Amino acid sequence: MTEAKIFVRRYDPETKKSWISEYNVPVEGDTMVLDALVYIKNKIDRTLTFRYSCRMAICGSCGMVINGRPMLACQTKVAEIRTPIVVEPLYNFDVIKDLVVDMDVFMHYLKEMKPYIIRKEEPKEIIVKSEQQEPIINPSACINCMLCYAACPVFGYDQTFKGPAALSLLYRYLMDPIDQGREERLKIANDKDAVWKCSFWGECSNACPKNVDPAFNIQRMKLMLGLSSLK
Amino acid sequence: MKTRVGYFRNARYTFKFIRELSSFIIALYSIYLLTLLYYYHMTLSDAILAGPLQMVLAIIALVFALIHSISWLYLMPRIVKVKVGGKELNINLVFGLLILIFLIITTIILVILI
Amino acid sequence: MNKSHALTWLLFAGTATIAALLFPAFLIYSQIAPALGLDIKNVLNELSNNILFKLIFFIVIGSVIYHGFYRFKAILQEQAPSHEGIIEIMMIALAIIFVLLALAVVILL
Repeated sequence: MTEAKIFVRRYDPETKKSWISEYNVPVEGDTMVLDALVYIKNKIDRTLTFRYSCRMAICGSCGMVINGRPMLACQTKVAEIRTPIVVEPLYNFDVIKDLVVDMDVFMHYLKEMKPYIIRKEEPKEIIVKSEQQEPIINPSACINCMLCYAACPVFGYDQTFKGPAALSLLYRYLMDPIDQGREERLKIANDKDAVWKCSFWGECSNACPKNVDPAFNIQRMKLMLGLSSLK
Repeated sequence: MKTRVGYFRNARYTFKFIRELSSFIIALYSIYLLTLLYYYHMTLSDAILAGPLQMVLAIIALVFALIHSISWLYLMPRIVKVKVGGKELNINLVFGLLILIFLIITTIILVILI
Repeated sequence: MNKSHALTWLLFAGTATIAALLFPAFLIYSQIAPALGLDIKNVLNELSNNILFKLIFFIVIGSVIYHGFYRFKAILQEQAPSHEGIIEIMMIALAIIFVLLALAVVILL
C-alpha cells in the first residue's frame, strides 16, 4: 500500500475563508478519489464536507474538479491520475462548504425544460419501436452531475444560460416519440437564454462521464429551429 | 465563493478561444482589403501584395483561416450526422471526406486562377 | 415564435461553410502563386472584370464578414450579458453594413 498526497480546496461559509488542506492517504491500485475523501473524513479530518451516494457513477452526487478537470470522484482512480491530487469544488457554482456547491440554479433550469411527457390525449396503449427510441437513449443517460456546467465557459461568464444538461434534457423530450409537446418545447429552446447562447465549445461533451453529447443535442435544436424558421 | 471557468482555463480552452476569435480577425482583414480596394483605389493584386505589411497580414489571415476552416469541418459532422443506406457514417470518416472536399475545391480554384 | 435568432444563426452556419471552403484558397493563391514565380497581377486584374469572379468574391468576403461579426457578437454577449440586446442589434447591423460595403466595392472593382 502506498500513500498519495491530496490537496483539497476548503471553504468555510461562516468566516468566508478559503484555504487548501493537505492530506496523505493510503491507496491501493483500485482506490478511487472518493474512497480517499471518505478515508480523510473518517480517519483524518471529520470537518471535510462533500456529497456522494451511489459510488458507482449513477447518482451524479460526487461531481468535483480533480486536477483541473470536472470529474466524478467515484469513477476516478487515484493510480491513474497525476499526483499530488488537487480536488476543488465544481467551477461556476457558488460553494456552500468545502466541496459542496449550490445546485439551485441548475435545478431551476431543469424544471424550466418541462422534464415530463406532455400528452394531448391518453390512448390505451402506445407502441414504440426500438428505432423510434434510438434518438433518446443517449440524452437519457444524463445523471445530472453538473460536470458539463463546470466545464462550460459560456455558463461561467453568463449564468442566465440554461446550460448543457438542461438543454440536453429538453432535446431528449423533444425527440421522444410519445411526447406531444413539440411546439411548447421548441418555444423553450428558442428562448434567448437557451440554445442561442451556446457557442459550441464542446467542453460539456468532453466532461460528460456518461458520454452524453449535449453540444450535439443543442446544435441539433438550433438546426431544427433554423429550418423551421424558413417555413 | 465561486471559481469561474473562463476562456483561458488551460491550453485547450485557449486554443478554442483563439479559434473563436480567428473568424473575427479574418473578418477584419476582409474589411481591410475592402478599404484598400475602395478608399485607396488599389487593384485587387496590389491590395494583397502591395508591400511587406500587406503580405504579412495576408499570411496571418491565412493561418487563422486555416485554423478556423479545419476546426469547422471537424465540428460539422458532429451537428449533421451523415447516413448512407440508413447507417450512420463514422464522424472521423466524414471529417476526412470534408477535408478531401476542401482540398479538391482549393486545388480547383488554384488551377483556375493559375 | 420569434424567428430572428434562428434566421441569423442559420445565416451564420451557412456562411461558415462557404467561408471555410473557399476563403483559404483565395489567400493561398495570393501567397503561393508569387512564390512560384507566377505573375498574379494580370490574372487578378483581369478577373476583377469578370462578373462570375466578382459574384464569388462577394459571396466569400460577405460570408467571412458576417460570420466573423456574428461570432464576435457571441463573445461580447458572454462578457456583458446584461447588454446582450443592444450588442445583438449593433453587431448584426455592423455586419450588414460591411457586407453591403463589400457589395459596393465589388461592383466598382
